[in-house]
Amino acid sequence: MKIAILGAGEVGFHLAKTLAQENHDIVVVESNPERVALVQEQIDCLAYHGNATSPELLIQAEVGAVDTMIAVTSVDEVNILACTIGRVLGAKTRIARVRNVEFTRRNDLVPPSQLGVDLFIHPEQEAAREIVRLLRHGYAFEHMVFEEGKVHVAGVMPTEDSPVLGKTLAELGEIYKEFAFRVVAIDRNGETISPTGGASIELGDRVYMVALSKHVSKIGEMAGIPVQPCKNVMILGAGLVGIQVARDLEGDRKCNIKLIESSRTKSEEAADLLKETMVVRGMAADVDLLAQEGVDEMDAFIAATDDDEHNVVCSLVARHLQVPRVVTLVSKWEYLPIIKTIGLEAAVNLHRLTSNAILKYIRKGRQIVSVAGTKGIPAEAIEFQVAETSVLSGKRLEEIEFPRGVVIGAHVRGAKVTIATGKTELKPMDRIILFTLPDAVDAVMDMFS
Amino acid sequence: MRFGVVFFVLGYLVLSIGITMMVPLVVALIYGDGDAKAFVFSVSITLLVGAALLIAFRHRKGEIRGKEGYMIVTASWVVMSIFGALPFIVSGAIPNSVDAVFESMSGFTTTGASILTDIESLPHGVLFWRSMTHWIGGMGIIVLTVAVLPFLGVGGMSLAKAELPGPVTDKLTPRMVETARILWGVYILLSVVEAILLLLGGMNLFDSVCHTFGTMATGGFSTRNQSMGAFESPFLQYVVVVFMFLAGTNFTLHFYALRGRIGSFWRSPEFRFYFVATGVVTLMIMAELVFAREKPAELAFREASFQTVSIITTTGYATADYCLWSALSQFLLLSLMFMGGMAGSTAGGLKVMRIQLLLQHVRLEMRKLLHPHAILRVRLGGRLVPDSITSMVLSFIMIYFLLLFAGTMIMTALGMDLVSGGTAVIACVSNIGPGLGNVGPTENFSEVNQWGKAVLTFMMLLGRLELYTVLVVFSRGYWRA
Repeated sequence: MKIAILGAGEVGFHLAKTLAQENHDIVVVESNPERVALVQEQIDCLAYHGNATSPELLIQAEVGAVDTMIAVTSVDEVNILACTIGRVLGAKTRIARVRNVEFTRRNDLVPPSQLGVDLFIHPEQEAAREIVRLLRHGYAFEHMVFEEGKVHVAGVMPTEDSPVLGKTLAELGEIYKEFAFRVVAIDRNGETISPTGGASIELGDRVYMVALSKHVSKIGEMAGIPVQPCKNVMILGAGLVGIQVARDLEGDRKCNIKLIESSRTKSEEAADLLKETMVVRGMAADVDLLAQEGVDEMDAFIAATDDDEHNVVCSLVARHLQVPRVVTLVSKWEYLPIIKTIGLEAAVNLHRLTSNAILKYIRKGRQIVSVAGTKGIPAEAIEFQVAETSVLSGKRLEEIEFPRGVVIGAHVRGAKVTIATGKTELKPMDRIILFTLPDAVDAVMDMFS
Repeated sequence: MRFGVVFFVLGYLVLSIGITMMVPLVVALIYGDGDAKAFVFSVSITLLVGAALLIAFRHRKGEIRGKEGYMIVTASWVVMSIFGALPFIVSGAIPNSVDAVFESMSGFTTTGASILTDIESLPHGVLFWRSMTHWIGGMGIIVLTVAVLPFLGVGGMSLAKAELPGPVTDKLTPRMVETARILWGVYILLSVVEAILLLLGGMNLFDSVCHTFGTMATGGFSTRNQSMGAFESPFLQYVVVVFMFLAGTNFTLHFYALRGRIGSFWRSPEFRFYFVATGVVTLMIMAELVFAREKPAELAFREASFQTVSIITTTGYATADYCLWSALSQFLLLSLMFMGGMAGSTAGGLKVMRIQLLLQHVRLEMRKLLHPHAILRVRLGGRLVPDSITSMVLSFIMIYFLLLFAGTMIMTALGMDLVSGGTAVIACVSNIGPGLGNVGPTENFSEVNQWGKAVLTFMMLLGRLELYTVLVVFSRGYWRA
């Protein structure tokens, strides 16, 4: 597939690197000569230097011949204009990242199709959604849903109170017989352990489990983390993410929301927009203020200012005051591993969300229904469809030899979702949600195509 | 430095040399000159060593990083020359190992300098291998490896860049694998066309294939003692002239031409310079041959163009002994020896593009004296050339001349005269083959001292990999953490 990526910032660079490794033909357009040099050095692709809205440059880069065009420069208007030009030149699919919600909101005056954009990626909105999901499933540091919410994947860290510590997976299967679940990956000190029946769960492990929506709260119970409703929530920063989170939570009537913002204009704007939320103006790093506003009584604390360092420090303060749920927004990619080290498990990264959303859209083919990258471990969750003519159809899962590093999670037939077992038989049009380490991705793709 | 990765990749290269060596084995079996045994032995040893390296270091494969890349490229050319010399030694064609490695390195680097005095007495298999080393080295074995085995990933990209000549490498397609395939594809296509034309011109199959190898790689090994002079047919000589010229042209331009964009040739400022330089020198030498030596016009044009193109493309075939021509003609050829062909071709030398950038830079420096506050940029055909590339080119040219001085000093210290010693070094660093004086087109390198041969072998390697790749491995900073 031919793909043009406009803008080689954090997201553009990561996308180009990932897609080039998957043997796509990549063309990158970037305005900063230093970034261009970096791309040329590290990624097997063609890199052009210049403005992404220059028709001349886009013609030179043969953007008209690409299957997908991804506009991820730092400016919304540039991304949209580039897509408009891309459509005139003949780029088949056009994706634009925009931060301004107005473009993505239902808009009859200028519909996206008229701008030439097939898919708007809105990182702030994605981030807000993930934060809300993490609040609702407070026991998980990572949470994904498949099949419109029927299948849940949760990453948990069992505490000392957890009843599963020291038990092998085979034993767990016996204990929790009535509850359909599967452990798909265990991460121990940064190393991913393949979850065979003999593997046991130890303190400090990060365990990824698949479960159906009706059983999902059981995962928290297994991890020894009581599931508490989020009644009192404090949000730091009235940026695009903060406001969106507050809005989403306002839908929940039982929620008391406090939004703290230091800028006068921003806080007043937020107060205009949000009906149920109490907006407080003050320095976010001011511990006295946090205490005065009752941070220690909060069920959840969300640090979502534009400043990464700020978010991290304030999250540590909240953690110190034993707020049960702390979610931290970080935008720098390289901070993610550090965040893990200092004990802030639930981190949401804007760039990762953006590139995940784009990768999901690109890889979506006839056989692949959806893809999600996990942030804690290098594994991916992929949902495949069994083709009519596939050699796999008619076989039971235990008869199929899957590549190493692949674990089958759930099985979907029509509207019926089950946690797959060895006895599960595959039929055409069935869907399978599986977990795979990066080495095995190609082999799995081959199996299903 | 992770030596494991280096050895692993070297394993692949040694294995591929072993496989290519099977081709002369087939030739030897067909002609039955008694050299087949030597090839069987060489092929088995090479394959064994390659397989052993691959198996021993199979767990060490991984992403190639900057530092290892230089080592891999340099080491693979050295290793290639050593294994390539095996058939010469084992068959007894060149019993002395220093001589054999010289001949092999001269083949792979497309230099074409030989230590053999009687070529025609050699068995066909050995002769074929000698010419084939040119063809493999011409477009580069690493580029070939990248094209056939794309396992090298991003590392492969930097390796291929180190092997492709010229200050900048144009990628024709987003992926290096595709670019490498296109380059090799164009190379094979042109070679097939030339071989057919030579066959039609009356050469036998063996000679036409060997001479195609020598021409397309701008190498210069022949199967005859008299080089191309042994073939008196004007048609054959013109075919070789045309294909030497094409081999000295950037292969990117051939690719565009094959796609129907013939105009790209003339739009390239580098091609215009290359074409005009060849034309002017040909006409000047032709004038001398017609007026001072009273040769017929056609013969004069043929001799002048053949020698000029052979030297500018650093091929080294000869149909006339230019050592007998006037000092001016010899000097003209000598200056072409420095220049060489276009960047991205199989030719050696400084490359036309570097000379153009140097001239541009000099022009701008003078303008700066007149307008001290002007902001001036080096451009080539309207395209902006970054300062970093200009400074790379300037230091390249400086190192090149320093090497010539050092090399000439060593050669004269070993007892060669100034003209022979100096031009021997130029001929090796620029990958031409014959020089002037005692190493002229009718002579060879057999009389050079053993130490001299070793130095010249190293010079050929430096020239083919364009100095930096090899020199950096020998720098002290490279071995520091």
